[in-house]
Amino acid sequence: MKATTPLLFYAFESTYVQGEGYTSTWNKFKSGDYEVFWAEWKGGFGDRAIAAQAQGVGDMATVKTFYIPNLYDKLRTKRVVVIKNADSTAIKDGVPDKDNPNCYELWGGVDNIKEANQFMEFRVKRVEQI
Amino acid sequence: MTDIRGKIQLALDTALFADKVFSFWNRKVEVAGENKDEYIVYTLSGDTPETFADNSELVKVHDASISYYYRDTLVQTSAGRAEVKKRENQIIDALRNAGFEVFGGVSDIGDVDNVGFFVSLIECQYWEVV
Repeated sequence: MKATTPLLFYAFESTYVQGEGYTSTWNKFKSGDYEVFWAEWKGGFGDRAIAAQAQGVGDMATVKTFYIPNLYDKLRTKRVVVIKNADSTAIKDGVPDKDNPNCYELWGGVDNIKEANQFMEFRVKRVEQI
Repeated sequence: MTDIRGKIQLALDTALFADKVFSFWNRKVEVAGENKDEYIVYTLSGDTPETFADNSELVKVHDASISYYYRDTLVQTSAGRAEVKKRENQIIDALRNAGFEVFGGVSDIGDVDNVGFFVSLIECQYWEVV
C-alpha cells in the first residue's frame, strides 16, 4: 500500500443539554496527538465509475488506510466526512464546505480487510449536500 | 410571546432527563448517553388567536403534539407495559405542571415510522394572555 495522501476526518456528533435539547457539531477525529492520517487514494474509473454515476455520484474514490480502532468505529456508526489532502479550508464555519473539491463523505460501508485489524478500506463520494 | 418550544423542552427535561429520556423538536438525532428504548419528538402545530377586544388579540392558544416513542419489545412483558404507562403519566404531569392543558389524554398510534418503536401521542395546548 502506498499511503501518500493525507486525510482529515470529521464526525457529526450530538450532545444533549438538559432544558436546551441537543447540539450537533462536526468534530475533528484525533487519535492521541495525531489528526492527519495517511492513505492510498484511488479515483474511480471504468465499471465502478459507471455504477456510481448510475446512482447519481459523479466523483468517488476508494481509500485504503491503516486500521485505527476508534476511527473504524466512527466510520461505522457516525456520519463522517473525509478531507483529502488535509485541506484546512474544507471545513467552513464548522460545517463541511460542499463547494470544496477536497470534501468527501463516506459512501457505503467500511471494510476491516480480512478482519485482520491491519488495514481498512472504504469508498467516498464528494459532499454535495449537508 | 412565550417561547412554547423552550417551555416544552424544559418541562420534559425537568421530568425525564434523570432517566435519560431525551426530547427532540421535529427530528430525533442520535445522542451520546441516551436511553436507547425511549425518546420524545415534539412538534408545534399552531398559535391561534382565541379572543379579541378593541381590534387586538387578548388570548392566544398554542397547540403542540408530543410523540412518546418506546421500543416495541416493551409491550411484550407486564413490567414493560407498566413502564410505558408510567412514562405517559410522567409526561402528562410534566406538561400540566408547566401550565399546559392536556385535553385528550393519550392516543396509541402504533409504529407509525416503521422503526420498531410504538408511539403514544399526547396533544396539548397552552393558553396565553397576550
